[in-house]
Amino acid sequence: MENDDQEVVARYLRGEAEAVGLVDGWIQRAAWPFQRRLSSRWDDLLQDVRLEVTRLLGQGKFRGESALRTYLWRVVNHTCLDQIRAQTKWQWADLDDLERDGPVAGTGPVAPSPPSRHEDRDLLLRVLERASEDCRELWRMLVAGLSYREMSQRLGVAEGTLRVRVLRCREKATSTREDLLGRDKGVTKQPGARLSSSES
Amino acid sequence: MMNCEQAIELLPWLLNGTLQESERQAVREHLAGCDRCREALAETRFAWSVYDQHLPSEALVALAYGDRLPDGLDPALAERHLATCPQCAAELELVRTSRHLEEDERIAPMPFQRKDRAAGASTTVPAAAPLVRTSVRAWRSSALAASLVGVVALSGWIHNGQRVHSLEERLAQVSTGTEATVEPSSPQPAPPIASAPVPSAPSGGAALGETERLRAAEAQLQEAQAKLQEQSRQIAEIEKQVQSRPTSKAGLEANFQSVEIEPAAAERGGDADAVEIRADRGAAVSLTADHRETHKTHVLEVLDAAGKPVLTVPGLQRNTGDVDTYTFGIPPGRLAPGTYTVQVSAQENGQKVAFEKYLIRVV
Repeated sequence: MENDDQEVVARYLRGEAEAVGLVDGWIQRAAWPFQRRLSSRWDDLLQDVRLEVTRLLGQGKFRGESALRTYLWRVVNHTCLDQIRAQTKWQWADLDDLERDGPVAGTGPVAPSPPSRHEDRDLLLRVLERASEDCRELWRMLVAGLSYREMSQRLGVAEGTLRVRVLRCREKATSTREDLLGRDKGVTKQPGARLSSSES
Repeated sequence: MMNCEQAIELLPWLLNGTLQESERQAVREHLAGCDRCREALAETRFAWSVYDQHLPSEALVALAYGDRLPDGLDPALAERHLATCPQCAAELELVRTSRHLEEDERIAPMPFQRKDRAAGASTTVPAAAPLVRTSVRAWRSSALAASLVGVVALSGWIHNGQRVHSLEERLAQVSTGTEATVEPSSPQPAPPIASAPVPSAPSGGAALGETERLRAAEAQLQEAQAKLQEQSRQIAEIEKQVQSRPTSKAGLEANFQSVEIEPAAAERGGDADAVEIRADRGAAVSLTADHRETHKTHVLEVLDAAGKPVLTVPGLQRNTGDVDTYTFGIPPGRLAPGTYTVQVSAQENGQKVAFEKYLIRVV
């Protein structure tokens, strides 16, 4: 089986029609559940996946630890999930000139970058799970790009009240992070202490 | 001038870019000269990262396949997050569905139907859709034409067959045991004349009268058989023509029209939306129904501009499907050029109840 898979990879990379058809069939079948969410750019997505598959196979990333079919299935799922997230990710306004250690200047609006290490993400998830459902809901709206007027209408609260509630949720996230860092690592709380540079 | 409290409260919306220009400008001016508020901006970015936090895609794929999570991620924490994050839970389901497709070849994914809002019609991904739609339409036109021909031919054939059968029965009943015999040439199963019940033999003038009636019946039978043969020949000819007709849409529409009409056009009034039909061509018309079905049959009337019926189709049945329709045919040259209203109605307690109206313009 392993030899067969390597043979398919070699034939695919040589562009043999049968192998390309086989791999492409797998890609389309694996990506099928994502069609509805990514319908607006479906053809582009399939092309992105094909390029990614070709890149990985060309670099010898498939080492036969699983069947080629399963390996490709995971690559397709991974790529489709990333595409869904990129599609819904809200762009931050360009404020580079105002921040001392913000993103590189002159790049325009940028998407919040995910934490580079899983440990960092683990801590962010722990902070998040300690947040109230109200705070999550308020910030979900913010992240989705709603203005404070839209949010106050949707929630039926005064704009001033809404702004204060959002601020309290932000402060709660900061204080939870300080608690977790202080308790887990025994460090002294410092106002505005950063988890890692990737957060900002 | 904006103070620190006002500026800090607006920072989340400064980040998501939804402040009005005047507010945005005021906050930015304040931030430019205030270290404390710039620090608050960094904290706001951190809060955004927290509240927009999700399981990484590789973790979702690992969970769907029952694998170990990427290093540094606590499985229990991931499970708790999934329980409270609808987005991650939905994405995990997508990956699980994909995995099922990998494992079970028997699952056949349905083609995804995408609503084309501009055209108001559905298309199928991938982009071979226009070709598919054209061929489907041509197929429908062919099927509709063949059905109409078949219905006409079949009803004539059955009618004549029944007539022949009835005449043969009558002939058998009046048979007096004379030498006259009739060879049944009809394919319809008819009771053998020899085995028909034989009444007691009349005599004299009565016998002569019976013989005349028998001859008349014989003549009628032969006439009906001749008609049947002629119709069978015509049916065979029509079938031959249909089979030899090109199957492309252009070929079909050269001699035959297939039109679909929505009732809304008539409701809006005027004839701007009337569907055009060529007077010199036959047309198979499919009318989209929009009332709830309550009757077995309907009557379809084609009314001229003065409201006078010029074509009536009784016994119209509704075709049920994704979209219910009524179908009927207009023979070539049957309607003179002009605008007509097609009215669908039904009988209810002896009263005529009108339903959908459609507009056609014969040119």
